Amino acid sequence: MIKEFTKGILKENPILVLALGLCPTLAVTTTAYNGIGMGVAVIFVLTMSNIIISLIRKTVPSKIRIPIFITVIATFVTIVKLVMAGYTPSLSKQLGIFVPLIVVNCIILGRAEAFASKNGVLASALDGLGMGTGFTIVLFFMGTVREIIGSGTLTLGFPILIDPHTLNIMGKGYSSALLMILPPGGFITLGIFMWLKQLWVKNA
Amino acid sequence: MKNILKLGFILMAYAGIAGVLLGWVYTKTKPKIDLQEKLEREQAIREVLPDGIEIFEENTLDDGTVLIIGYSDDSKQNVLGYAAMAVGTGFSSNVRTMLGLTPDFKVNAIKVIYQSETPGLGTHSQDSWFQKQFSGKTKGDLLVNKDGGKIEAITGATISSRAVTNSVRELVEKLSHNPKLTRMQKTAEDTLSSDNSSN
Repeated sequence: MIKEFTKGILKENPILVLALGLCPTLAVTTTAYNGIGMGVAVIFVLTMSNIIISLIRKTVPSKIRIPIFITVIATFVTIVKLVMAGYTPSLSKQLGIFVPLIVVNCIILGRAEAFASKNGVLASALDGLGMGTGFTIVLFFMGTVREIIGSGTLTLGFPILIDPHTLNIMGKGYSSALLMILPPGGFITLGIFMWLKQLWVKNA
Repeated sequence: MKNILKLGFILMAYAGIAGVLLGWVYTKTKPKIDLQEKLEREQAIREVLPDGIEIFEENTLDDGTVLIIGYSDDSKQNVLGYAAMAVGTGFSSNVRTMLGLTPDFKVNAIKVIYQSETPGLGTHSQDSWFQKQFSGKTKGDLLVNKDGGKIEAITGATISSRAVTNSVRELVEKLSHNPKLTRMQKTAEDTLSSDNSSN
């Protein structure tokens, strides 16, 4: 059972191996903190939607499963967004752009389709947690690399628990490599990360 | 045919449940969200208005602009500043900025309230170094440095910087030409000089 959790971190890492959810990956990893923020929001929504889809999987006719899954995911994300805006406005501001993006993140639908619709509730919850964690780890490291090279700073924090703080890593005279913050820098970083992962797996 | 109808009804049932659930959550959270937005707006107004303002009230000008006038005390004689919302078209969103002015139409402070520009570039319009540059500027200075003004644009985000700067300048221009406000400023000066003479 524990394998359902750990597989998402390296062996079936959603970004590096499955290559799912690349759009938000490239869009938000301009700072390390943004990576963590998006990751945490995804862990939450992915786990919850996996649980709900696993619960209703036997009542869903296979021909219309995709629209039903999307309905479940979109409903869930909208509820999270509304509740956050009303009750935790500061968190809602920090995660503001990330939350609506989660609906179109294909990891969520991908895991619903490939895993939660075929497995029990506990396994699906662990799958969601593991995939979300793997997603978050990659986002964090991509954000770190892109922010240090692209802006010369490093912004660390954790949603709800620790407010983000910006450290000036490269010092004042550093002229930032803007390319790294723009989409091409995202693709380059992602490619290098995938390459490193393959190197590591081959040598292990 | 029968099967299509059946599937259609199942999908409708799911969508219906989702709709009802969302409607319920929406009505429950709406008042809370409105309250948060109101608090946030009031806080922004307080931040951009000059110091020493005890009370402020909202007025709607003839052209529909909502103008907030700040007074030094309850008697509402002494106008200490104005605030209004500037909206500019940025790279990927409408950038909304709360603008605070002193009675002689110099910028006191600005606060970018809403933007959804490129993360890592245009989003820096909410950084304090960018917003602080506006303090004390008059309408002639309110252009980004590329356009010959005194506002240093954010690197790689000239469009977002222009959106803020130009919307602020246009608002300052509009307000400083508003007959109602210029009259009010004159009265304020008169009161001030008569105060001085009585001393």
